[in-house]
Amino acid sequence: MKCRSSRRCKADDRIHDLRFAVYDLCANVLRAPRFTRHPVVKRQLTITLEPIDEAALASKRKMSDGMGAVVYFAGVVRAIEENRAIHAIEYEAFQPMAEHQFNLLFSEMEKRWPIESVRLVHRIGVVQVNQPSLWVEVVAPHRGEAFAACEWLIDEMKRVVPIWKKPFV
Amino acid sequence: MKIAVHFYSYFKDLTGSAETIETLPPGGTIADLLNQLTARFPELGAMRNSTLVAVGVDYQGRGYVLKEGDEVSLFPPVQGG
Repeated sequence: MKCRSSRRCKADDRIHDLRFAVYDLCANVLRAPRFTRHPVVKRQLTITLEPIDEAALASKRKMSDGMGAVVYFAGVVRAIEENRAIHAIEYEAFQPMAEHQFNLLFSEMEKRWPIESVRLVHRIGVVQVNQPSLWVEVVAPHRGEAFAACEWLIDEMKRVVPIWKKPFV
Repeated sequence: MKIAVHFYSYFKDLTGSAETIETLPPGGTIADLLNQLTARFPELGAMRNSTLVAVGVDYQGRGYVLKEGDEVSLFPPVQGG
């Protein structure tokens, strides 16, 4: 909706900032950490034009003896996007900001869960249907924190990491 | 002061460019910048409430006071994954 007056624009801008602040409050306070450990989490972030090789990623997994859970998630391009048949999606990233925002999220994960490592690969460029566009792995002592951390990371990524998709019909 | 503005995703289509330079008076805010940009690119006006704004690599609110040399990025809600 277009602003009809300068006063209306200012009110809309204040509402926008307030909504952003409330969302952050909900994300950061209501979903409070269940753990207070602050381990140094091993991070691996890759934003790439190359296809995601899940087998190669799995073969490079490293876990210490105290770790009992590995959760990984692959996001795959569907053949239907917004009720339309598609054959591919093109991903675009504002890469320096995407890397920065991912690292902020990884730092937040360190505070919230006692995870040992996080690895994330996100495709950019054209990704065909049935091909993975996202691969995330979290290693933690127990499944609870591994699942929670992995889901939180993906949810937050979809909120703050500047990556966009353009379907090809 | 001159502010470099970068557009991402379909904002490039709405504006017909990936970047532009705007001139603002000292003390100008992101809200002021958006006012100028929507006057110049009316198609952005319809997206104003959902437009995300970053200065450098960090998000900033509409009240953020810009300074000479800031690199501002405007884009629609993100869609990764």
